[in-house]
Amino acid sequence: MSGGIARGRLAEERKAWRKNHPHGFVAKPETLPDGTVNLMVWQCTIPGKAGTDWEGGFYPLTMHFSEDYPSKPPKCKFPQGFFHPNVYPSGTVCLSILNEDSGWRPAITVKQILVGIQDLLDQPNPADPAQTEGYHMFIQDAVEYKKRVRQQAKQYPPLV
Amino acid sequence: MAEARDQTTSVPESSSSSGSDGNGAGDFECNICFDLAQDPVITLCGHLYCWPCLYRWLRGHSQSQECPVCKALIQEEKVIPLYGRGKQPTDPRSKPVPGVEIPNRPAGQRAETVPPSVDNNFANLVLGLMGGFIPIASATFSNIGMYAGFGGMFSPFFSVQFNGFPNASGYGGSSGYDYGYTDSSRDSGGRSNRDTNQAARADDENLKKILLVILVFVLLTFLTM
Repeated sequence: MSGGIARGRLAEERKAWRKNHPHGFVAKPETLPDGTVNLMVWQCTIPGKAGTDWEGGFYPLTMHFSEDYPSKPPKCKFPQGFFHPNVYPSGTVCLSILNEDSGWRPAITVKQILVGIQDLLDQPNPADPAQTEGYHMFIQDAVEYKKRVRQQAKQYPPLV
Repeated sequence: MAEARDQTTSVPESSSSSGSDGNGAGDFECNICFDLAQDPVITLCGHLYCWPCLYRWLRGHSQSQECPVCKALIQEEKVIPLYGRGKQPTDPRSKPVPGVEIPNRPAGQRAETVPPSVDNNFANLVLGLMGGFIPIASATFSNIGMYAGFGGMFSPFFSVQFNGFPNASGYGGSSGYDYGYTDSSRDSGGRSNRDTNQAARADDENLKKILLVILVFVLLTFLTM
């Protein structure tokens, strides 16, 4: 246990997000059935970047914070089976800034994570594949890959 | 529904991070817990933290002691505590944190206060002594008339000076010759640098000799008075 830093920091993250956040993004702590807010799990939405094949999709992402946050990064998960070379079959995002042993720093904000994942969507890192399907299609068949990405974008329409 | 808010918040990211707090309180927030820094410390790279936050991060990641903001190397003992007015500067003890033993912040590295004009007085004293001694010495010297001794004592000084000259001219000559020619001449340039070092050392030797001569000279005048 790290003496409750995690919750305090997450409260600050929440404040900062409400004050200002990038267009089209959503990030809010989950509300439990009894009406209490669980700061340790955030339900987020990442919009596909305009001008890319991901445009038009609003991709749901769940952030799981541990008690060791912000010493350790949150686990970020898309829905299971999400199509992207750097997303594990479980939906977990593989990104350097989310890796405790490489790019993570406690000063990285929720906003930076979400924007970082948005960038990753259209700029996959073939050096670090996390699923075979997305990786092989990205490497071998650019046309099919594009088609698949656009199809997935339609699968996640805007919520409103 | 979020349209109105979105329009105001669609400004680029950079402006949001610097201006996240209109009142500037963000300047004093810990870069780990994002709260107002408790037991604040600052790294050499200039990033502010609560000491307990930073300590936990450094201990939890002992293989890479990096600044959580800029990844600069952090040495625990080089972290600077910030003592505001609110707390006793003599007791920067951290609040006890359950589970983790957080030691006190590293102490500030305090340079000694400037001694009030002692140095100036000392310099004046020395100058005064010099000024006092030299006329006296020369006066007594000329009165007693130890010219032979004088010449004898200063001849080494002159000869040393004379030795210095060929060195200096040699350096000037070689450097003027060096620039812009072959690689082999660059080697001799290196040698000429060494010559200057030797010349500088010779100068030091000269100074020592001169001081010694003056000392002996002064002592002699006292003895002969």
